[in-house]
Amino acid sequence: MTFLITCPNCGPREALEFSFGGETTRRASPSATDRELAAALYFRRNVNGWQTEWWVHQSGCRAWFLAERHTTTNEIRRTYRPQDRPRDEEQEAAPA
Amino acid sequence: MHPIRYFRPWRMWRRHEMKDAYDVVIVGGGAHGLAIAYELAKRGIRDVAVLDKSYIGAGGSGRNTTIVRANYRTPEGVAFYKESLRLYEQLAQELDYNLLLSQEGHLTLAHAERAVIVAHERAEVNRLLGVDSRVIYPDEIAKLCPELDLSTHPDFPIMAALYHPPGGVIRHDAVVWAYARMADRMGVHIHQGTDVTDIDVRDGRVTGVRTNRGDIAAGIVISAVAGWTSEVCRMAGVETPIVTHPLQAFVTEPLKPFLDVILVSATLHVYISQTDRGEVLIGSEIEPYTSYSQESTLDFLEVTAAHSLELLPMLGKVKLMRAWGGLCDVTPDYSPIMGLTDVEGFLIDGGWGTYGFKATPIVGVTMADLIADNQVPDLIAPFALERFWKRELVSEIAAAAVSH
Amino acid sequence: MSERLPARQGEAIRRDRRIRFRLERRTIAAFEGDTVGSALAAAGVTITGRSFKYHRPRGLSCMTGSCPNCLMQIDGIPNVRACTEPAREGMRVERQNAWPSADRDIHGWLNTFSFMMPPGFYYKIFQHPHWAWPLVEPYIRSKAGLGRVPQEPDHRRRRRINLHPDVLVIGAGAAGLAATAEAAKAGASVVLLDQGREAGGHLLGEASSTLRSALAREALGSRARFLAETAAFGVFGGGLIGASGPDALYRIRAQHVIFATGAVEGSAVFPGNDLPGVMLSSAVHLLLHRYGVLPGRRAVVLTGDNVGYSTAWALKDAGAEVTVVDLRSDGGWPEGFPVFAGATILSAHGRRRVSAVSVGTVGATSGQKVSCDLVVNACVQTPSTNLLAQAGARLVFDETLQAFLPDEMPDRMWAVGAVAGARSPEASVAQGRLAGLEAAAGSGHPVDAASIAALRSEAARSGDPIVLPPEASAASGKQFACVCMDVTAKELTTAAAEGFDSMELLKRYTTITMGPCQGKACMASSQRLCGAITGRSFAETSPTTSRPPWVPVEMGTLAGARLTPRKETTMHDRHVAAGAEFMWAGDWRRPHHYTTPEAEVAAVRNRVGLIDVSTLGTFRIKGPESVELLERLYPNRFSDLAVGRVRYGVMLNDEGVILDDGAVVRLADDEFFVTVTTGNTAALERWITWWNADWGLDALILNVTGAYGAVNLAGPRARDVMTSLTDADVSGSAMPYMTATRMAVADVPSLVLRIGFVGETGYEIHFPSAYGEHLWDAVMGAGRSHGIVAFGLEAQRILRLEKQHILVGQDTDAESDPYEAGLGWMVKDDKEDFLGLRSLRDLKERGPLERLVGFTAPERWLPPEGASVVREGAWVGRVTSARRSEAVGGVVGLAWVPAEWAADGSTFEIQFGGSHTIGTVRIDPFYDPRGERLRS
Repeated sequence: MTFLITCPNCGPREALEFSFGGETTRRASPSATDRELAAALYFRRNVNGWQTEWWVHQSGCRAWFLAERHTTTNEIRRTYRPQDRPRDEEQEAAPA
Repeated sequence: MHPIRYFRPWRMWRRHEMKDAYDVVIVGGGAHGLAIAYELAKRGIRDVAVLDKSYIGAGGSGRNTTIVRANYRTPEGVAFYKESLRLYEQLAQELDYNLLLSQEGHLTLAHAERAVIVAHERAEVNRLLGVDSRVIYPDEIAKLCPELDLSTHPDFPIMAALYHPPGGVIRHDAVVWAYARMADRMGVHIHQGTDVTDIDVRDGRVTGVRTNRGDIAAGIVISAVAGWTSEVCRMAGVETPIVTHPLQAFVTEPLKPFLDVILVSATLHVYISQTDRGEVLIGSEIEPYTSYSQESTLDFLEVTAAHSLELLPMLGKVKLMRAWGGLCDVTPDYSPIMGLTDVEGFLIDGGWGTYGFKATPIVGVTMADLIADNQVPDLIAPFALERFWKRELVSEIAAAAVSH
Repeated sequence: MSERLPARQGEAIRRDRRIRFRLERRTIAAFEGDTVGSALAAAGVTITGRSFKYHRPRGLSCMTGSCPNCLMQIDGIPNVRACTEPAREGMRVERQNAWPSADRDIHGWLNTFSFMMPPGFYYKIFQHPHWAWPLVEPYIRSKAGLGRVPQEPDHRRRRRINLHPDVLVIGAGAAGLAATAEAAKAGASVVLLDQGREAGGHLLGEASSTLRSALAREALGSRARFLAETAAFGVFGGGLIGASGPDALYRIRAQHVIFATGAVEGSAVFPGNDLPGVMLSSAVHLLLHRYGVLPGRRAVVLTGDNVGYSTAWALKDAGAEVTVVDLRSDGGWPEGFPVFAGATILSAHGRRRVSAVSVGTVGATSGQKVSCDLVVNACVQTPSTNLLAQAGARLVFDETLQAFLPDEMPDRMWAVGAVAGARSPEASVAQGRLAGLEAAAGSGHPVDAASIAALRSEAARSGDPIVLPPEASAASGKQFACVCMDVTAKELTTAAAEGFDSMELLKRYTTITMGPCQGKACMASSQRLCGAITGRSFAETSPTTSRPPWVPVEMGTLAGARLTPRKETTMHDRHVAAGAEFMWAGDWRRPHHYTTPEAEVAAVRNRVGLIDVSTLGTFRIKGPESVELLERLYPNRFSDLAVGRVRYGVMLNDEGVILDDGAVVRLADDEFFVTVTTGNTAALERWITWWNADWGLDALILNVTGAYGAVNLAGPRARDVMTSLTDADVSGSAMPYMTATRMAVADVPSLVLRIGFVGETGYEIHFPSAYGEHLWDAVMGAGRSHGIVAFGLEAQRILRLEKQHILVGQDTDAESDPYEAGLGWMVKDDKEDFLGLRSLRDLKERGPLERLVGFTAPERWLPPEGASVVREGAWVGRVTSARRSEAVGGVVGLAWVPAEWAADGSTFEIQFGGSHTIGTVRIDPFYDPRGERLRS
């Protein structure tokens, strides 16, 4: 991966410095139904388009942050810290 | 007879007018989609359309590294791929098209204790299921592949290997074309340049598809689109556990033949073979992030070249000629998704990760059997989409690490 | 025949420096500055190789490394482009793909019988009978390939150089030099690349070197950095450009990129267009003006515009007889030679070299014969747009120039010179200067707006319309669209008729553009033919996807420095001195054993041993919500863990699958010390920190692996040794099993844990790693009178196995849950929430289908790890760990078996290959089942 990612702490760096954490997910609660649990554990959106996802600056500050990346062009239009995540932006995992 | 046919041009497939209804629509004109169409036609189901948004075999079928083998890790996997390899062995005769199958032998090299243990496990599972597979050590490895660096020079010297004599390579494009030709002959319509934009579902059953060239009504729609499975299934309202990762490969300039066996290293994450044209074909693991991009990346070329030279150090001055990428639909348990969904009439053939091509013939047979008999064949029952809802996974992670 | 011309200004050869090299059995005389190709041309060697499939004789064609004709094995290295490879004294050159020689190749019969090999012939034959293909395949494989793999291993490491200039200029021809000069003058940092030895590009072939020298002085005399013999081969995501130079890989991220990659000539398609003696005009110019070689005495030049006449004049000036075949029928051609107007070359004749051509109107099947020994293509120019296309440029067909040219360039990128359609050096220079100024301005350097305006008008593309030769000739005979793969026009037509009717399908079926030239020599002719065959115009037939590498790159260059990270603990030298055999544990080097594992095991059980466990992953977790974090991460309870106490914890994922195990120590109310398995550290750090980030808890996580070293002192005499190393009270009452205390050990501030992976009284000492050697020496010194030994990983594995302590990742896999692994006691499912809680509920209810159990087996055969557990011939489980144990007497191990067999005393069959044995299940640890020694 040779595209650049802007770490919220360190600035733009080569993607090789980072580890990918997957698209955002929501964990199932302890009272989840079977279907809700399976959806949270396994089912994914995997969009061909803009995706909100996690990255960690493995070779740098080791902080986790979120990015909005287009999964075909690998263009990243935004990166931000988890604390700056609007609560309602936490997307559902695949609906049960 | 044969020699006369040989000199005349062969009509491979025809261009048909697209009808507005078919019994079965297969989305995806790769090896799987075409194999399914062929097998359906064999069972008398001929009102079938295969749709591909590009040309046939443009996706994974034309980009893979052509390896076929049966030495998987789980009993379910072994049974499945063993049958597929058996079918591959007679496929050229059945399809009347030489597929250039070369069962030259497959070596999975172990450079660390953990890898040796995995080799032991696989050898046992294979042996007990009747698959020719055994663990061999450097002296025997050297005889199979004298060019391999078995010295202590590499950082991770080779300790042992899982040797699978029936493993081999095949011409991937030929498989696509052979199935297409036969399917076309039996009345299947192949529509290239046809992009499915939506799938119609009413009252929980599929009624047809919409494309850039018109709408088609159909009672059975099969998704066989590999890396694009999530998007296509979403059109039918079916959720999947798939994530799409790019997978890259490259070839060197052609050399006179020197490599007679397929080399795979789980520690170095490379697999190497030499094609019938003399090119050395090299691949590695999937990219560690999800993407729909099929481009080559420089770090892949660097790392994979370095690892290849650990195994075959004489390749230092051999030149890389062409690189490309493709997409892998990866499931949580590295096993495929085959069969029924909650939408009646909508079937999936997907989740093939890095091991779809080697399953082509058995996919054709089992999916066609499922449709023709309206019953899920035993061989693919473990691979139902339902298993993720029931949380009963079939884990092939060890064999899929660099599964080529 | 070719011969040397008198010396001239601007030539590359040094006539005062003679060198000699061998071509097979011949000695070839050359000059320093010659390439192998030019030297062979001067020596009259016409055949430079045999073609890939039909073994047709081939000769020099391009002299720029853009075609496959002169690939040779040089000094053992295959597929070297002889036309650009500098000739050196003593070189050994062999022509490829021919036997016994390129001049008389036994496989020439392939050419004669090529009618028996229609396109894809091997798909249509050999499938019946089923043994036909396996029989024939070895022979067909042996015909494949060009050069031979080198015999010597190449262990040489190359450099990897990262550059970040303001401006990168790719190509040092007229446009590239001009761009470099302007950008550098304006103050930008500039890197200029060219794959040739010298700057100049197309100008190198000009008779006069005035313009070239002036531009070179301007550009290279500036602060710009010129990398010769460095070819850009790919544009990757994010604008990263890869280039390969002598022994170095360049990774370049420039603010602005100027593509001045020029154009490559193509050959017209007519029967015999691949004969030796049929060349491109670039080759003629370079041979005449750089190397002083006359490539032929009677030349026919095929051209479709005025530029081709310069080649005719150059040949005439050098003493050749020239005839021009001009594709244009309307007037305005310079005089000086016989000209066939409105005509084309219908076919070329000859066997090992061209001897005549037939000339006539387009569409004729025969015409007038003109005898010649040299045919020059000066009619098809293909802009080298591959790199631009990789970068995302949009290509559009230009009717005037009859070529695909860049239309829209991505931000901060320019295309200048021939690649952008410039048809004269002046236009190239103007375009280059303009781009150079704009790029410099973009980097923040001041430039003069007036200059830019003036250049814009000069740079505008202009030129006479070009007439291209027909896509194919109507005359009969093999005419090649792709010389790399020997694909003829007829083969393309047949393939299309069969159904391969798109450019992509034709490419896959016939393999056009997939050979060593990767489309440089043949993309245009292939596009035009494919278009014509499938009813599309040239304009409507886009080239196939541009992929890296644009030029072939050595594997060694890509591999670069080939460094493997290896981690050593701070006690490493002590292990070396003690004679340790090392093994890899992840990317750590760890002692496998020092003497023998059996002796080391006995020492630990009977006296005391010391093992370096610095590789353990260790974390400090601190903060008001650190307890909450641990409660959620582990199924164990930690809220009731007192300060100074240790608890064994197993981390699960949300599926309830075991991820790792280790010790958790409470250092303070809000601080914990956590250990995890060596190989998993990086992944677990990501795991823990991710959950912390997602949950937004107030806890800090610090990975202290490496910052702390650690040793484990174990055995019945461990306490005695510890007592002599510290003033702290390490007695059994003051420091019972599963407690932790801070103390000075050998004066080193340490955290000491009373735990016992190996099943004896044990002290795990964690300390600042810089003190490693001191601590090791101190402990070994204090232990000497107690008979202390150092023990390695293998002994540790035997010891822990005797206690049935599991190794996550070896005894468990990607599906193992705690219930089936015998760790259910750890799960406090009355907790409010933890990762895996919800999944475990179902797993507990369902009950495990398999169980991990300890087993003993007879001494006579040790099953390898990975051996199978068999029931009625079917595989039902596997052995994950197995060793011989002296303490227990016999074989002990761990295995996964069907749950119904998991009762003490049950027996089961173990197999591996042809060997087998019977395992007997033992639920309790084999050694010290009640853990008395551990707790003492």
